[in-house]
Amino acid sequence: MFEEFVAINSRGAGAIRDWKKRTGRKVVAVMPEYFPPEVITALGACPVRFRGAQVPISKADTYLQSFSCTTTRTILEQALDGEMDEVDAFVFTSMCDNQQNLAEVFKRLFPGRPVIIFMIPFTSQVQSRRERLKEQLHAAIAGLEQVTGSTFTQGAFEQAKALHGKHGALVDRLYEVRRRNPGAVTAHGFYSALKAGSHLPVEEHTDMLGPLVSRLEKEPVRPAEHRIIIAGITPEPLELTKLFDELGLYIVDDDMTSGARLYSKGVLAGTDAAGIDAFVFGGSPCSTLYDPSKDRGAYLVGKARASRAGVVLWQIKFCEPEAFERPDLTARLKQGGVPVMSFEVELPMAGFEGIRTRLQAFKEIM
Amino acid sequence: MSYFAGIDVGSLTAKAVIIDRDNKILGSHILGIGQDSLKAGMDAYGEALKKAGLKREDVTSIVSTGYSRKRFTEAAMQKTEISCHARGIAAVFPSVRTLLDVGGQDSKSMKVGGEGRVLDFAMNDKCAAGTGRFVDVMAAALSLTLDGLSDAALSFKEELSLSSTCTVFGESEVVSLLSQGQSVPDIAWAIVKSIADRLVSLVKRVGIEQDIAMSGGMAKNRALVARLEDRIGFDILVPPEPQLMGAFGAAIIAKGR
Repeated sequence: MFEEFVAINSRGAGAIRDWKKRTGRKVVAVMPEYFPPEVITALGACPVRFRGAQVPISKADTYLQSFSCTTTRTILEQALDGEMDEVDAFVFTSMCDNQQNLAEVFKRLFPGRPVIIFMIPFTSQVQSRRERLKEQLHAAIAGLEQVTGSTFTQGAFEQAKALHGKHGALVDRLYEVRRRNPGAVTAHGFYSALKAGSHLPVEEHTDMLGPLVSRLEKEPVRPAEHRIIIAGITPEPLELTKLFDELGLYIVDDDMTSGARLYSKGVLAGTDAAGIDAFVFGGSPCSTLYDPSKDRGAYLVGKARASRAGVVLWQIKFCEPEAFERPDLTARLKQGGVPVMSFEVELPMAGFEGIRTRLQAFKEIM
Repeated sequence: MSYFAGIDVGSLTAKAVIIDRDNKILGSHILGIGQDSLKAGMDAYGEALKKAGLKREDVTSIVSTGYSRKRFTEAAMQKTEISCHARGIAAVFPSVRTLLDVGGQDSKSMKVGGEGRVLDFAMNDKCAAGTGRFVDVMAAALSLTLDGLSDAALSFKEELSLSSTCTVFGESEVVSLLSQGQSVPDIAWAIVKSIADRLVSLVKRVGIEQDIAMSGGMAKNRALVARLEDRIGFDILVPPEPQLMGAFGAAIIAKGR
């Protein structure tokens, strides 16, 4: 059921390379989340994402310290390996210190390709945050107009919103079918399907998701006793999701920056201050965004109770935003009567036996 | 009469225990893993059967545990060593509520409920700090056996400290201390303090509640147990065969099937 998604992921950026050759259009990488892809689509380019990979790190260590997060280090390794040669410009968001520094490294290493930085403010002053975001967005649009040679028009923006809205609605249905029938959706299949969208034009990914979702919605409800919510930045290494399937741990929902958190934002409604602010700060709480009005602990406890699930905190070495929240989240979940465990992975990673023991033990105590 | 077996194949040793309906250990055996964990587990099982005077067909049910638990297709069930150690220790000390299992490759702390039910647990990360491997490497650097390191540590005179809990850097520090002319007992005590302090942090992650017990091969290290008792502020119960608690617990689980 998920084979075609797995095949796309196995080719890395191969699918987008083919698309570019076929269409001659530009490719813009969002590094990695929270810049509205509708803007890139409206300019006739294809938004892609790089979220770290299972690649041995060698060249990247020349530019980044070994204590940088392994997501950042493997993204740089991919770039140095030529995996991003088809990318015409990069839009970095200031989600964390590592990501911001990576933008500067990219500026030096790839001078022929524009690096646009979309700075997300850390402030409790909502009005000034909105104005700053609007300035940032408009500057980014101007930069992308130069890259693509296109002009950003309201008409094209509306079309892009419709495309991304249709895609988002399918992703929402995919999440919903898994919540309703987690026994019918493997963890590896689910996240393979989502990941394939990182390297495909939105319309192609939408065309692939449609039949999948329809098929899954017709599946008979299967038993799924041990229910899990995974929380973190991104479920990498993706192979690790197979362990959940093998152990009979059913991922019923997630709180991932590349998953439910991202899709909870919906599409960018407008390029004004309120529109971009609602896009970035709307939706569920995120460890990389400063928003004192949101309480991730309460949010996760509520989500876990609603799904009758335990929570697995999926930590990638050395992701500081997630690591900072881990002790408090663990305590809050325990206080809320929600079983919780965490593990730390890195990229690349080969052996999962220690994590197998933790996950199986977690299942045994649930 | 029914008999039950538990086979615990860890990172360094394979352990097998045969019990009867009353949890009485009829036979047990511990073997080094060598290059083939499945063979080591089966050999340990064979030896345990021999000691019990039983044949394979006499055993009603087997549960495997430890890192290579998946490889035992003959086992009716594979359980984690976390659950098995808790069940084993509860059979020996029913009052235990906190358990620390320090094995060759990893360490686990557990909050234990009635009848050995695990309520919460924490494990060390994948590096060797805070595990038996750390002590193994340090003992080798001092040309001591594991027992020799424990004995030496108990006769220390001067308080030294290792600044690193990393096995690789720790070994370099030990070599430096030797070259500075520090005595072997003082260095051995510094090694014990280093691993004990890391283990205290691991236990605190699940919360310390009496009674407290320790299992795994490192529980045989008297210096380590003494240092842990000092840091935790409570006595630590150690079963007669701490290394066998995983296999023993697995056998008890096999009986309950």
